[in-house]
Amino acid sequence: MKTKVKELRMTTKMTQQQLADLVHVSSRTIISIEKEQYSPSLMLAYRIAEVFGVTVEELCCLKENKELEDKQYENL
Amino acid sequence: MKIYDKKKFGSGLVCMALSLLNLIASFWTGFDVSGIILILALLLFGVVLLARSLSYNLSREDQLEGLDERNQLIELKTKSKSFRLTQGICFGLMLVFLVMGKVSGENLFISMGVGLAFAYAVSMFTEIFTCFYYDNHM
Repeated sequence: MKTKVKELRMTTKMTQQQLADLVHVSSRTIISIEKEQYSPSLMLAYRIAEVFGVTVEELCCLKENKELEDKQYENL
Repeated sequence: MKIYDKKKFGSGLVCMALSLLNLIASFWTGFDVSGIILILALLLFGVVLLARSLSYNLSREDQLEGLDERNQLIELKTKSKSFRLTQGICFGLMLVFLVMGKVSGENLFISMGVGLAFAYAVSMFTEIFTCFYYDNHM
């Protein structure tokens, strides 16, 4: 799933390890989220959103991702 | 000295005890290369586990790793995939042994095939019951 984690982390000049420590996960989890290989749980997304002061909807690009998912359903 | 991770500390002690038992047994039966490797590996594993369980920072690191949701997903997927692979291997070997037994008339192959068929049947039943359980509890 596409997220704005990398973008927001870069803006705040935070390292992956620092963000990982703040949200109580390993740095590998942050790396996977940034690479779009892993979709965070709702609670983790909320924790990350809280760190950057944004909403979960904004962090996880929910509108954009929903549109992509809708297209996949249309193609079924 | 405080123990921060009792489970890990226990595992470390078990590893050390197994290493010691192997060493004592080797004095009777004689030392060989595989035995020495096993003793050293168990000793090393035990020392590492004990050291991690007695360190606050390392124990916290381990606990965080255990609580990490991605790690939990990886563990779940790994177990699921390995179960599927084991089922497939069991089924494949079962067919091979049964065919070999039929062709050669050797009872040993038939027995091995039947054993694997039993293991495959058990895995299928556990899968069905687990599916029922989670279907009702999720």
